[in-house]
Amino acid sequence: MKQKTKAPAAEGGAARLRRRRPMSLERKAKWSGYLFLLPWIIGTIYFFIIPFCSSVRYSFNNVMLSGSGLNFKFVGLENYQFIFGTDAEYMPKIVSSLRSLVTDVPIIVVFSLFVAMMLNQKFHGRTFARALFFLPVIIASSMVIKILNEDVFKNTMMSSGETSMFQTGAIQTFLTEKLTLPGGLVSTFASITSQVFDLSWKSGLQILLFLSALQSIPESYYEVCSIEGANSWDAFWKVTVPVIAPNILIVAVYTIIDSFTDMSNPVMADILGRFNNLRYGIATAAALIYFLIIAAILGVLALIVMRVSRRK
Amino acid sequence: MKLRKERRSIFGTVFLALLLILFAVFMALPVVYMLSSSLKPPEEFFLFPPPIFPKSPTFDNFKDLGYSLSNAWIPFERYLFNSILLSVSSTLLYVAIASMAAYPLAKHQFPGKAAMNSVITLALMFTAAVLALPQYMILSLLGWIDTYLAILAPTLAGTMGVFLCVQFLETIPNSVLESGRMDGASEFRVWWSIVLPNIKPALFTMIIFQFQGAWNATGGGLIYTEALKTLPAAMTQIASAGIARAGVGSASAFILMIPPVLVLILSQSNVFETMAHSGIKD
Repeated sequence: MKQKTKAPAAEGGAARLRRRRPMSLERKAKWSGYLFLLPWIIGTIYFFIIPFCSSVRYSFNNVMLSGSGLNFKFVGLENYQFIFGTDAEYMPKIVSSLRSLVTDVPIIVVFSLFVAMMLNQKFHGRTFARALFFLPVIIASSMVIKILNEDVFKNTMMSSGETSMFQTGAIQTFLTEKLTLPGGLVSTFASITSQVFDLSWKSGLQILLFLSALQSIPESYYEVCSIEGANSWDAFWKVTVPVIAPNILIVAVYTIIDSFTDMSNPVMADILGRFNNLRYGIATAAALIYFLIIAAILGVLALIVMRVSRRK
Repeated sequence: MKLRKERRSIFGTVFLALLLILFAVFMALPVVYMLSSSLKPPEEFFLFPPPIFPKSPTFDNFKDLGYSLSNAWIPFERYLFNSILLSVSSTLLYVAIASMAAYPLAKHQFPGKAAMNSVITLALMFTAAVLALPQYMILSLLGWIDTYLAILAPTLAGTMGVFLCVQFLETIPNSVLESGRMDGASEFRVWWSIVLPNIKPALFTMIIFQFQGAWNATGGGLIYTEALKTLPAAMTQIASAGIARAGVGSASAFILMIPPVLVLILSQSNVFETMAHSGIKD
């Protein structure tokens, strides 16, 4: 691997070194590799692999909380049968969250690429604009948004407890009564703005990933384009897209995971609700089913990408 | 970029500016609303439609918050100290652990590498909430419940940072690392002097995220001793009392937002402007 791709200038030195101490570099790299990984491996075993295995075990048991801790009663596939058979709510929720995924992911990917390209232009106040677009990442998913949602917006603006402030009656009433706009126009406007609002709040990290990818494209590629007489549209498809293709995949994967594991996702809310009702066995079974579905989707995505890149 | 810039028409510039301003308004509006709510006297919360700007701004909410905090059983400084200690140590440790792990995962060949890379993606998908119960069992087995470690340890187990670093590292040519090794650098030296500077954007992205996450950790259910609780835990207790406390809620949300935003401002120039080019012509 490393030996094959090294710079021509370093070739002579490498050859000499290899002859004197055969395999030494390779072996050194291998052992130090494990050393570098050690802290992470320990953390992952303790806080991911062991908890993961125990949740698989929980899903085959009837887990009950008692004074002395957790009590397990093996019930086989009963928890899974409950979810697929008796429970009429869970699977439809999964189907609807899959359906919204199909539309949301492409929109978020395109939107964040678009914003990243705008922010990559040179203009005054660029640093400020970039910080502003990253603000949602700081605020969303934090205690701040929790306090805002629960104590401020809900009490003042959001009677329905929706996560978006543009869906609320307050703004709509303001527009119809104060600005005397027609009601139909206002509700269309409100639903569009609330969607754009949601979208822009979900795209913070994606914009950042695209921005850094865009900045890694050498200027010279675009110079070649303009010398060859290509316009910016051609340059976008012939240079930008092929170069950042791997980043598009990363952003897509991240967006899928993010929207699946978001606490506002109905399926996640359902699973958490079961946990809070102390039905650990059924909750873990539900979570594992959901997890397998996400894994399958990401697997299919990876397969498609591999096909496409191999064809090239 | 220069050539392209000259070609952009005035119409394009205006359109671009308008779009950016529109999106920027979306981004800024909740923050502005929060700030204005924190300055509102209680009676203005009952106005409908709610005014965007307070009619008679007052600092009473901040004073009220300060009064509640300074008369609490545990002094305010203690909560602040807990929060700062936890978020700074969590951020530094996490960045170190993740960037160290990412280096061999992206650039070395060794048995088990493929398995570890898939564990990363799996852990990304499996959300923390579902693992909370088994994690609690482990923390209690280790005897870490009701210590700082109960909050700290789980925040270090996230794999998003490793995922990001691996992706970044894969775009760095091997020849850069190889030239370091040829000059006799140890693997540690290669990581410190070549890998880290080259993945700076990923590192600072991680710092922003990790600080944000750790700063907001309340350790609910893991910490019982009041003196070990964090500032957000204390603030949510003060703020959660319905509409009567909405102003205090906004004030505490505003104060809680300051440290992560400071970290963002300090880090963002490193995230955006230093896409260091490896200086290798392939």
